[in-house]
Amino acid sequence: MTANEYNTCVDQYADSLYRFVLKNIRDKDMARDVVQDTFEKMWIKVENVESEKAKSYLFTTGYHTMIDKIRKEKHATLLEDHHEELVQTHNKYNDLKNVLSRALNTLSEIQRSVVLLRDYEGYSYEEIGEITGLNESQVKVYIYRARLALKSYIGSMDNVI
Amino acid sequence: MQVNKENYESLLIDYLDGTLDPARVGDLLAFINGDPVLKAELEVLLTRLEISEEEPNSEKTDFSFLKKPTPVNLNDEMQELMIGSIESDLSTEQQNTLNRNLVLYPELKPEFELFQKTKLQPDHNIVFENKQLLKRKPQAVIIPMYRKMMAAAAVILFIGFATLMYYNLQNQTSDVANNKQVAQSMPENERVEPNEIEVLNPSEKKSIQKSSSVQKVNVKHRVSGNRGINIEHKAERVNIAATEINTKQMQLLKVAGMNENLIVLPTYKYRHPVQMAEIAVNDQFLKPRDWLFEKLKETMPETNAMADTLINGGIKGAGVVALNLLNKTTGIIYTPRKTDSGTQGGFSIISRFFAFERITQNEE
Repeated sequence: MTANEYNTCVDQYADSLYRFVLKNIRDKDMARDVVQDTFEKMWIKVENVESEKAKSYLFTTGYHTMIDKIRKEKHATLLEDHHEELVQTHNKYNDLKNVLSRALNTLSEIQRSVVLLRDYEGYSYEEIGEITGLNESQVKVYIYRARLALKSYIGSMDNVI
Repeated sequence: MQVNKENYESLLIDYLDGTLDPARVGDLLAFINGDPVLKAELEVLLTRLEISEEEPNSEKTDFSFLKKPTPVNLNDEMQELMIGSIESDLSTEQQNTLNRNLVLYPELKPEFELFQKTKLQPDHNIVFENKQLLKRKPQAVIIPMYRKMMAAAAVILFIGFATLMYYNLQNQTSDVANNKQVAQSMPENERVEPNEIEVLNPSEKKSIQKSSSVQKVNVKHRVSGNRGINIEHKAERVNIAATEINTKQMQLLKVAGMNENLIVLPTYKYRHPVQMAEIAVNDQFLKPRDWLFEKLKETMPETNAMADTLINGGIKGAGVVALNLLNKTTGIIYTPRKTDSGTQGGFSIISRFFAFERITQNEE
């Protein structure tokens, strides 16, 4: 991949990668760090990455970079989640997007990742498996469970939507 | 007559009463099954009929097609179908099953709509700001650190090598220029063309081989022609001395009012370069041959026939001593010389611009 192709990847995928990471870790600064680290890693291997596989490379690298950061920050993240739950009980929801966003936060890391890759990026089970290191069946199960959890969450909030 | 919305009710009543022509039952049921609303109505009517009739209908008809799916695993199956539907995972048959159940069981519809709402949509308002920070200049290429170090080392080596070659070339040019100048003013019998250079006679070679390895290299360079001074003897002070001596000599000759063209570039009588500033007008300058004679006198005071030494190989090995002396002297190049009879005899000094004792002279 040339430098120009690399820069095109920045234009095409930086936003989507950022959205994916931000939705997972819910910290703008950390999400920016993950995206920057990911592109830095791709730049180091720019000669070995084919342009048609750049998106897959970015999301795979981004996913693992994010997981590493999450593990490092796990304690802090758990505290935030707890705080967020407390806040939720006092909020009223009138917007499906907000409710879904909250519902997303109730999922496990892996469920959230696979369902975001599926819905945001339209990846197949196989592609999601390559990114996350799971097999297709596992991906499918995680997505089904995520749907059930999301549906259950928004169902309980349905009367205020 | 075709069954339609106008006549189906009367036909349905006949059917429920058991008076409908069996040939028309198929048409009627096909019409009702084609409309979910009518189908549901029929189902309700049949249920009520079963409850109200104590006695079974004497005319048995197969109503199994009206049976509902088993409600036991309905939730799990339906949820799987619903999720499969929004994931576009279902086969045509599975999708039809889901659709049929959604018609038969309207209470499932809100459930399915909730599943449809779980489909996430990306928020395009979320963007990575300042994407330019991530971009790279096209000409910039990341090079691993070890490659950079290798490249830097290569550059340093190249510069060192080039510098060495440059000085070597300069000195060679200087030597050639000086030699040419001297050769022109040299007596005919001392001039030697490169193609005249031959190997030393055996006795000379033997004596030289006894010398240090450094001396061997010297001999090789000197015999091989007017190639300049061996690089390992080109200590900086030697080069400086060569320049200073040659410059100073010419100046001194002019000051002394001497015709420089009449004198072969003299070899300064053995003096250290740092003392060059002390050269007086009346200091004696020697031709290389005379310089050598003086050196031989110092080395072998008992030897008197110095001229004979150079011609005939010398008395008491003076020739060998002279060669050793030359080998230890930077700035003098010699070549073996043939006698009139064609045999090896003596040598000619073909270097001329100055004599300076080699910096390794204390190796002995």
